[in-house]
Amino acid sequence: MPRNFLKVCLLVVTFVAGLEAQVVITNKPDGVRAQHYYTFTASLNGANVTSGITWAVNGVTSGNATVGTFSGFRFNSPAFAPATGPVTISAVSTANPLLGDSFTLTILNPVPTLASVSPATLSAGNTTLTINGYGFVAGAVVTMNGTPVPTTYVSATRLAAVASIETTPTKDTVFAVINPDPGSISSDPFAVPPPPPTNVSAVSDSAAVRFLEQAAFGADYYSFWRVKNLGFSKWIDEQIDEPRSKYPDLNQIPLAMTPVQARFFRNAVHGRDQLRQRIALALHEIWVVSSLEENLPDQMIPYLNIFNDYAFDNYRNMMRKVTLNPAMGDYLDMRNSVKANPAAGTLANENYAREILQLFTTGLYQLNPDGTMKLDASSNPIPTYTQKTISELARVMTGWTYPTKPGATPRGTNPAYYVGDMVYWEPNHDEGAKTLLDGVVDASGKNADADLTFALDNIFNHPNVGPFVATKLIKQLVTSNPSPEYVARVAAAFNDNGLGVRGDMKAVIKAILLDFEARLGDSSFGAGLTDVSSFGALKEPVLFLIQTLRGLGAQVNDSNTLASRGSALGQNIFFPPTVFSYYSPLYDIPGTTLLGPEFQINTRSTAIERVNQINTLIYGNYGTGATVDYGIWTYLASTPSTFADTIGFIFLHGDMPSDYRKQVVSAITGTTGSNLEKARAGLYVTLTSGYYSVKK
Amino acid sequence: MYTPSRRQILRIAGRTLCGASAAGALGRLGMVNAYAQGSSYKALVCVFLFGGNDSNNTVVPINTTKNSYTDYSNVRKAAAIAQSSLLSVNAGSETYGLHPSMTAVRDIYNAGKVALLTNVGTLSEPMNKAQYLAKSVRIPSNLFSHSDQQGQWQTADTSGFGTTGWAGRVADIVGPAYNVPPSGAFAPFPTAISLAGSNIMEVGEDSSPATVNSGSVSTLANFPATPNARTTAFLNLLNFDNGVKLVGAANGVTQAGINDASGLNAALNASTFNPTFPNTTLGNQLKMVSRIINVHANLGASRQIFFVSMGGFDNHDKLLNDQNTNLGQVSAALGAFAGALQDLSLTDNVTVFTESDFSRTNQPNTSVGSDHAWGGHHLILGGAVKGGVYGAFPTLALNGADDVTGRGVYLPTTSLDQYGATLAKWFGVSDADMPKVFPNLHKFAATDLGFLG
Repeated sequence: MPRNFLKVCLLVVTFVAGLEAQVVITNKPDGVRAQHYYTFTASLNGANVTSGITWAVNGVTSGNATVGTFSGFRFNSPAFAPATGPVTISAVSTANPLLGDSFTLTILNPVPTLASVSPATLSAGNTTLTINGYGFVAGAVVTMNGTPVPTTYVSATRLAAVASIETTPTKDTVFAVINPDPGSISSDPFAVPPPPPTNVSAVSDSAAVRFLEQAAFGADYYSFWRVKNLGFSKWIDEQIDEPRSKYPDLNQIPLAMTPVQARFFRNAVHGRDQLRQRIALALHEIWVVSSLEENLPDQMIPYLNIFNDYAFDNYRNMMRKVTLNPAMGDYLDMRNSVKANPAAGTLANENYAREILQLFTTGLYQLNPDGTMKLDASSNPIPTYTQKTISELARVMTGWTYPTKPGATPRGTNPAYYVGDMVYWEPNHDEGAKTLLDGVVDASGKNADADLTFALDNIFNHPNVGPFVATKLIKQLVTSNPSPEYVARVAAAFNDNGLGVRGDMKAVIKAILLDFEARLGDSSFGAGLTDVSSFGALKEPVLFLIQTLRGLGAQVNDSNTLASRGSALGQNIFFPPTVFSYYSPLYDIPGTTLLGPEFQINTRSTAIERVNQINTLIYGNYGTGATVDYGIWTYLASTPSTFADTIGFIFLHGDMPSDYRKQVVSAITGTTGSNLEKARAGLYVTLTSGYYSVKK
Repeated sequence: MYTPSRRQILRIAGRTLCGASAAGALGRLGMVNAYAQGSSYKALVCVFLFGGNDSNNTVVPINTTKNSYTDYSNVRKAAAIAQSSLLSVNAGSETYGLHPSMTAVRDIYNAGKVALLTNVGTLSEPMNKAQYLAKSVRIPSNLFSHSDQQGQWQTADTSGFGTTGWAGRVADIVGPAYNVPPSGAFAPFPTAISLAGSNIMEVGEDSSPATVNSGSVSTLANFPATPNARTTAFLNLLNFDNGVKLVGAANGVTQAGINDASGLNAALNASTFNPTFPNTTLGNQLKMVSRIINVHANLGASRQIFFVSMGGFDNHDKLLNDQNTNLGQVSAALGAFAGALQDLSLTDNVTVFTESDFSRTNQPNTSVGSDHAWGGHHLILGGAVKGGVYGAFPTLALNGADDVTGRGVYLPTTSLDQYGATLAKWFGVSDADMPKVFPNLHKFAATDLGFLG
């Protein structure tokens, strides 16, 4: 009745008030997926409005949990497609309830997420599998290697399926869950690895775990066996081909960074593309854009995608991609940087020109190939560039503006828009000649794109870039105080991948991770290093949290709030304080002669928070978004020595000295009460120790 | 294979000092005396404006010996603040304008308790423009780089390779002479306290700062007063050392955090002082500073150095808008802080001063922002301050006597060393000790700028 009544009213009102007096919903999708957001738009008398509209679902003002709710113009779809079928969305002018519009919207079933399959390994025979996850709908079907198998719906978070397996698998068995109509949709595939083969590579168990502390977010069961099976080098090859984990689609999340942060943690804990994600994080921490200023997913996701997409590409390609990224344009002011205007008494903006040199590519001082500073005759370091170089490079970087929004007319300074690369508007570009690094002259008369290409080549080919990038990535992945020889070997790989190509990230990454200095500790820690005592790096807060969760076998989903825990430890992911990142790669540990970049954010107060976050994880919880089943740990705690060995293997790559082990065992045996309490005590003392916080 | 780390040696040394028979006790007797005699409390509070505050728009000449408002607006163009909006203040026969958002600071200035130190910056030695351009003098390394200039403002070392900060060196000298362990503690509470995380400014040769959150003090959760097997093992593992230095360093930070937190938390919990501050980053930090100052006696402290900070001053675009917000927050927080000190009757005992990476080009860029420059103007506030304008204001004209690049980048006429030494002297650093804090000070004629009583 209400709908028909509304239509009649609309006709009457249209007739009486003329065409201009009406409310129109200007976007009417056929369907919106359950558990998603959708922002509607409306016009009043032909003009777009952002207020003054009362929204209703099935005639209920602001809707309800079953049919979906409205917050302002944003529709929060319900958890599942309502049993009553499609819903009616109506918009009525708050000021004049006679004006309104409505349409029928189908709520599509949610995207199911498959989080785990039990048992974790498959063998021949008929097996009843428990499929855990969320967003399951009655009628959902489990597929195994693409073929549906008999499925029983248990709950929104659990299905039972019967798998009939002819022979014990030798490769991944891939499962998925397909929700039924409306909007039938499949989960991402979930691969169950084959049982470990009996003969594996020469990589020892502890070496595999240690390697994954450097090349991944720590070891989990799957990554551990892939390294064991393939060996280090082939594992890197496999990782290069591994499909990348994704950030959420922009139309599926609210206008906030929280879901992007949550997905980062979920991907890092569960994603198979560990190396790609690890490199992407390192690159984000070098080429910084911060959500303190660029705080919307449509700004940050395209920017973050660059590092996942270019992690194994060429550094030069990434340089261009980031330089022309609109969020970077916003952050360091290259977008809408216009050439000098003598009449207005203004000069080109120097922000991006300075930071691309100082922070992203060359650094302040001329470097030897081993990363040490070149010195002049008076033993003083030699600057890489002068203020004049910055002013000149700033002139190169003029003329660029936001991408032109589809349908809009290109302008000299386009309005903010973040899809695609920035574009140039030649009249705003300074075409005069410029003198760049090492006195190279960029001839006059070139357009903005040709000028930029020339300047990026000039920068990329500066001899500093190899040792600069090598040093930064080694510090991120392996050790805060690498030997100059180690830096030189990695820089050489940057300079030439063996096939005459400069900037090949695959070669750089292999050079870092396979270098003997990185691998020495696999067998006999430190043998041959000049100063073993300076090896290693403090795990930055997000790595600390993620490795802990992977080691404990946690389940992490999109509702996790791990970002706030990282923030309590001094690292709010994607919100570094400035373009100088979360911490300085040049930070000295006070009272020592050692660099300890991550120590800059490990203050006396955040160090206590680190202990307390472990306490919360073990004695409390991290909420439903990140859960740990302590069953196996409880079981192990009945035998303290086995417990200590297991903890030492997973969290300390088997390197648990006897003095240390004694404390862990005494914490377990001295704790009264249940085995769960003993397990908690053992985990607490291990995970709160400086010996665990530092990877080595 | 146990080898005590440097930090552990320091911890052990701290404990030994408490024994009356220890060799260090002679020095300690002096400390106890200084404290027992009730030498009056003093605190320095550094407000660091990260990103490089554009002080061209913080202190504007309206009618001064060197510049008129027109001299200013001719250079600033679109980035100029209208003369009618400026908060005019008098200094002798001259008139200056404070940024329109800084009403609280203006009021304190008019009460005679703000010094404006003009055109101060990093300098290796006195120089003029010709010497700078000819490079015939030593020039601070990496002018115009955020990280380097922040570091030089904090270390007072223009080589760029300083490993201790000037406030940390002050704490090394003054702390042991004035501060004693709080009751029940082995060592004095750190003289230097940061509300803004790590900073090199408060790192000394012998001391490093306590870091405190502005909301509350971090203490260990689930840590009963009576030790159990878990907490005992935890504490024992803080001493575990198999030679990997980074492990020792991480344990040392945690141990120091535990030590600081227990003393500070007890002291704060014993007080109900809860002043009203604006709910901003800086407001919350200064609120905690005032709460700590209130319990200084419980902490055994007669001398404290605080570090607070605020970011967002790197205004390469939207200068007018962003700086209006930022300086408004600075002024409001400083006003609230002055009020809290008044409540505590400690106005004359606390001196607040600003630092920043650098000032910015007086000539704007095409985004109506400004780029990195050099000398700038700073504020000193407190009951001990002799209000007025200090230093030598630069000639603003582009390519004028003080502009070294043609964009309104002014060669400082006062060095950071002179600025810091004036503060350090008031705080209790003797002339004999001053070279340890500011090794470069002897190159400059005036070692006390006179803005503190």
